Amino acid sequence: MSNQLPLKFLVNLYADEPSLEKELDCCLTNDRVVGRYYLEHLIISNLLLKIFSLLDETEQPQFFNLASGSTPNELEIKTWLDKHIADCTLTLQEVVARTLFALK
Amino acid sequence: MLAAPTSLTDSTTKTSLDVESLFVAASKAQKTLATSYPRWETLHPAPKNLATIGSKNQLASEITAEERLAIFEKLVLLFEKPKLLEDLEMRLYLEQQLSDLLGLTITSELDGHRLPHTMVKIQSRSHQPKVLDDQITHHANIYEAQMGQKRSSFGWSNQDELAEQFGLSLPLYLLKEWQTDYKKTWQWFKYRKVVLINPWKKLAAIAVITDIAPDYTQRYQALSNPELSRQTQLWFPGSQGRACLFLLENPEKLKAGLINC
Repeated sequence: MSNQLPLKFLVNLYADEPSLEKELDCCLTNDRVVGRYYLEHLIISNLLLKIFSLLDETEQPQFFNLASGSTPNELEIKTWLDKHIADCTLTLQEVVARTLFALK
Repeated sequence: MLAAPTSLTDSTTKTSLDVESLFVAASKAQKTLATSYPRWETLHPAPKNLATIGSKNQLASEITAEERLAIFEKLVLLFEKPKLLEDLEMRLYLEQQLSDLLGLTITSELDGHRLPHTMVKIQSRSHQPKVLDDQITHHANIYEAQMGQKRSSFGWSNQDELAEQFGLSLPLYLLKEWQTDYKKTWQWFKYRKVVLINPWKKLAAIAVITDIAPDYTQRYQALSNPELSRQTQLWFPGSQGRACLFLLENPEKLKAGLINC
């Protein structure tokens, strides 16, 4: 049910932690965990959409297999992304910023 | 006309709406993803609906429980792939996750100091004599562990019983700074509190560095006092004495012992 850790790591890679926390400031303490779960879920969806649009047809299955392996780990995903779309880091940070802006 | 007063009910409704609007936005984005790339439907399924779960508290506790499990699984994975910790970003991310989980500020590096190892195999040791004429009966329990013969490298102990029970010995002589600034390093690590996590049993404790040992680190990279071994279940066959060690920020106010996680 919780967002998978390797996918959650994408949020950590491209999102600014204080911005996420600020977004959740309006939530009560008990709502914070749920709010964070939904917020990360939303960001992950938007990041995956963007990442897949940046990858070509041979790279897409590679990335999917990496994320869905039996013991997926964040380091492998980070290394792979660095190798394939390192120059798009700013674009992906913008995706997160736009997602947060759209919530306002 | 006067505006209606803002009541507590109004504010609760607003907060509830915020979480709900997040749910709506997350569901919509996931649907777009699943439509564009159907393979992601299984790996990144639609977010759980609060309406079907029942209450926010239940959903929150389920999310927390799953994340907790995933973090412990990741710690187990570290023993197979220790390189994961070499990457700075990965290390900081793990420390942040552990800090959230344990409610403490955990770090691998503090004031320029690091522990000799993060992943260790620990051997249980006998009780350490605290004073010159120390007897086994002076120790609270686990008499079968017997009394050790050597006093600690830090000298006779002036620490409380808990510090002795949760004592941990580390090979500090392996540290680089030990060679360059022995005295300062010795002082910095003396009776410093660290976090020990047994990911196999999902147990964690605040331990105290009470000695510099073992002399050889090929097989075991730390020694633990009997109470610490028992409380963190290092004896558990699955874990085989393996555990993770981290430094703690502001350890002064913390007491040695098991911690909730």
